[in-house]
Amino acid sequence: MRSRDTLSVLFLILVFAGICPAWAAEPTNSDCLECHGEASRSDDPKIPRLESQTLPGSVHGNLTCIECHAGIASLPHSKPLQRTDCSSCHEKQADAYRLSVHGLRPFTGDIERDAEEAAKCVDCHGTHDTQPVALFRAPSHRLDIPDRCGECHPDIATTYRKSVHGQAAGAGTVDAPICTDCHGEHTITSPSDPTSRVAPRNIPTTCAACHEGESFASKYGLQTRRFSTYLSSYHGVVNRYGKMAVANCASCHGVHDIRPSVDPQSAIHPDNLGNTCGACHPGVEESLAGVRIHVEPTPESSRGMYYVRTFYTYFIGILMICFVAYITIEIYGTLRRRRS
Amino acid sequence: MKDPGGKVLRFTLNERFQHLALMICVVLLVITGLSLRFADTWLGRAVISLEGGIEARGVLHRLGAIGLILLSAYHFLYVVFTERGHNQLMAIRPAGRDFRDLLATMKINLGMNSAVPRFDRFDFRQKFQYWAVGLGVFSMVFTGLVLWFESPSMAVLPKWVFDLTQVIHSSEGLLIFVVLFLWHIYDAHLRPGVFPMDHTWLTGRLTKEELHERHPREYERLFDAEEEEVEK
Repeated sequence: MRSRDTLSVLFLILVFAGICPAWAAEPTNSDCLECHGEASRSDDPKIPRLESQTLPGSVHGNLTCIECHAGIASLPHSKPLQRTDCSSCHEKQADAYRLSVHGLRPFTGDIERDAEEAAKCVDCHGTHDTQPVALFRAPSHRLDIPDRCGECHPDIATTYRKSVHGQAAGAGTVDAPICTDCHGEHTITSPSDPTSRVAPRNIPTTCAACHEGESFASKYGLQTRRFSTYLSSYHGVVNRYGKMAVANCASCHGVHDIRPSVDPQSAIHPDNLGNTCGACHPGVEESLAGVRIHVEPTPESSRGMYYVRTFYTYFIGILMICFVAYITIEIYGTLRRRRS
Repeated sequence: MKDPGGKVLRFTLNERFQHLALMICVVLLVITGLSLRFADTWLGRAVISLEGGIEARGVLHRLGAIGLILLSAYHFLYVVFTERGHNQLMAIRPAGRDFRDLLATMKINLGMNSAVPRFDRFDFRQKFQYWAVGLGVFSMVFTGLVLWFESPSMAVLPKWVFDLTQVIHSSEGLLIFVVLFLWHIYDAHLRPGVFPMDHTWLTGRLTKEELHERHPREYERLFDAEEEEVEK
């Protein structure tokens, strides 16, 4: 009996699921394309047109128009349409976006005005031609991202393209850092937000992704251990605690305008280094010009530091051995005297 | 210096206050300093948060430094310009006999034949501690000032000297910690005969018997001459 009940319920669900769309007479994609397609029956130039193959060629090819353009019950529809809401399917991404610097910009609800405001899903992902994420991140598309961001941030994009990172990206180096590698994607936040990947406290970790380990270093001839040598400095220690203003990577190397030390325009070019340090430490402009910073103390690179450290290690070790030996002998002597 | 209770005053109130001030400053400096050296360990993080954060840690460290510098200046004036201080300094001068006393002490403890060393006002352990502290304070104050005023220092000193100063200040701090906590705690608290604590640093006094046992040559100088006088 029970299985028959289940079956009949299932049957009813299936029937309604099949009937409902027809019953509500919701417009199909071809209905929409009657006005919005290439072969529109209207010649009103204000009506937006869509090539019939654009949507089927996108990652959303199996969606119906009204799944994004909600609120259309019958045709012709009234205007304005509801704003498309990606969050009904992409909840996690939307939640992250809402807390980002773009998402926190207040929307007015007026489509025309909002279009002028901060970047929304479609500004980065496109509209009817949205591609799968894998392709968006693929080498062929990855390096286009600075252009996308540059549409709203043209000055930064220009600066970036002249930097060592932008030059590498422009030359087609797939691993070259692009905007999203440092700023994040949906979670992009202002540097003043302590959770931001580019907040002063987090910048060293962000840069460390490429400038610490061997993999990038051996591939592109970079120096390794830029992060750990920074961390062992006073700047690095205090930066980890995040309260005081100390130099992080960007303070000396720049932000979007990072250039290699051999570039005369670089903030860390030997001729400019003194002035870069002098920004926080007045008076050091001349004495620090051309010095080497965050060097690993190996016997080759910084002999003095290496030997002084080694000296202290042995000195403290030997001293401890002497103390322990003296104490042991004294206790032994005391016990021996007591026994006799 | 004797007092009627059969006890001998070894350290005046002034000297005991100097020791107390030194203790407070050095403990504060060691805690706030080593927590920076080990800032990337769980213990370092815990101590820094107890100190009120990385910024407050620096303020406390500098307060301790000011205390230590003032104390050092006072102590310098004390041993140079007061008669009492000068005599103490003369008594704590290292001498060849201190090394012989050390060897003799070791031999006796090991059961070898040796004459029992007869200490004067300060024995070799006390002299070692005084001069170790002296050298330590001198180098720490000097390197510490270089790091405190980092911009003028870097303007004057080559970068590698500044880097070395950091290494020396940090390593010397660890050295002082080892001397204090391995040696001085043993010497003043745990050594057979003084456990749980040698009270001289608070009372400034030893009994005549203790003085006779620990510093026989000073005892002789103080009392044998007196007894001779009484006999006359």
